[in-house]
Amino acid sequence: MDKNANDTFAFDLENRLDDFFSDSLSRPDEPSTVQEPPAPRGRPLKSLKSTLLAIDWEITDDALAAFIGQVDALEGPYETDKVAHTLLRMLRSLGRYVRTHKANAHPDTIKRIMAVYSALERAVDDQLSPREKEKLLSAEVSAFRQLKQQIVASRAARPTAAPTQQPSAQTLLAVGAVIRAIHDLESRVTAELSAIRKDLERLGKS
Amino acid sequence: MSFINTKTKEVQVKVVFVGPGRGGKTTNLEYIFSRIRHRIQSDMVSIKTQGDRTLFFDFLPFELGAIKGYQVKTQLYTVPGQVKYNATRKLVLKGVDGIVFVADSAVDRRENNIRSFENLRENLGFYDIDLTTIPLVFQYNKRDLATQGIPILDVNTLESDLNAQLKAPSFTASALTGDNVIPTVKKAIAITMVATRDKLL
Repeated sequence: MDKNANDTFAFDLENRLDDFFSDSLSRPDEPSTVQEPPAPRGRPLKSLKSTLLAIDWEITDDALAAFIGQVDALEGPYETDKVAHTLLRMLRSLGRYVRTHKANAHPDTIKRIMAVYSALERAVDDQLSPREKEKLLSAEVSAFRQLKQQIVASRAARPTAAPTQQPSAQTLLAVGAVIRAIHDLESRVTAELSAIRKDLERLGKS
Repeated sequence: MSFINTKTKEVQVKVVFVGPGRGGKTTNLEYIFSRIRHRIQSDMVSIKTQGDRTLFFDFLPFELGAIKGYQVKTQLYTVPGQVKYNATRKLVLKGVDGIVFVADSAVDRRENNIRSFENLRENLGFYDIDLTTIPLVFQYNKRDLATQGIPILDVNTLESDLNAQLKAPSFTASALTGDNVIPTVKKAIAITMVATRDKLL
């Protein structure tokens, strides 16, 4: 914030707080008299943003389930917007990956989710030209692909880091489950990527 | 510590409600939530024991909207007031930007208020935060007890016990009825935001 712009900071802050906590708001035990304003473009993302903030604070099964549910619900409204639709699918894929792998998920996944969401917010903003949106999507697809490669590389590195002593049957079972989960993720990510590629091709043609 | 992202133009501040156990910290947050719940998308998170006491903390995040082009996100927390949960109290105070000290106005809670305030001073000291510099608001809660014939401390006594040196803003309140709860939180957010702004300049 620059100093000149902050001369009226306290005044603006006070007004904002007055508006936010306005006494004219109905109390919970009173019937609501506040009329819902017409939904502007971008408003559907509001719930998703709050869920993302919750995930940023603490990753819980409930928050992830809500996140995936909200992403699924947004796919319909943005079906005709290919850039937004592709970003939503990326979010769903990343969300499912985190839900499956929890603490073992790649540490950059949440950062990636935040970045894709941020791109989605910009993509649904009418101020961007189709060319800019395409560029935005392309950057996100590259980053997504890079993360996928990192996940695959970390999977490949895991067996060499195994301890020299004989693993127990329980450990073997756990390792088997992890490998199955990685295969599952890999096939899911591959399917998503191929769909994204097709979308990009379609965008390039249009 | 406040989180400021100049790129995305976001400011995030953390305000923590502290005070003695059973002092009404959670009731404050519940009242605030009840007044703003239709405006915000987030929920209040509360982790309680069987006896309805705060076990870990209550957490109420919300977005205030844009001020000077910055999206302001506020996070309100309470800490468990019970003496035995000091580790949790200390943990929740990490990165605190502003404090609301909720004192209990009941006469027999006077000692608890003072002890809790001293505990706050110690816990902040752990993070090298000075009580004289951090934005702080006092709330003298449970004023409604007087209507039930329960003796309450007069404001001068509370001020001299807790606020004699700091001279921080203070409010008498009743979190149960909501009286002065909103002015308290508004003041806390306002002074915290101003302090955050000052850090930026």
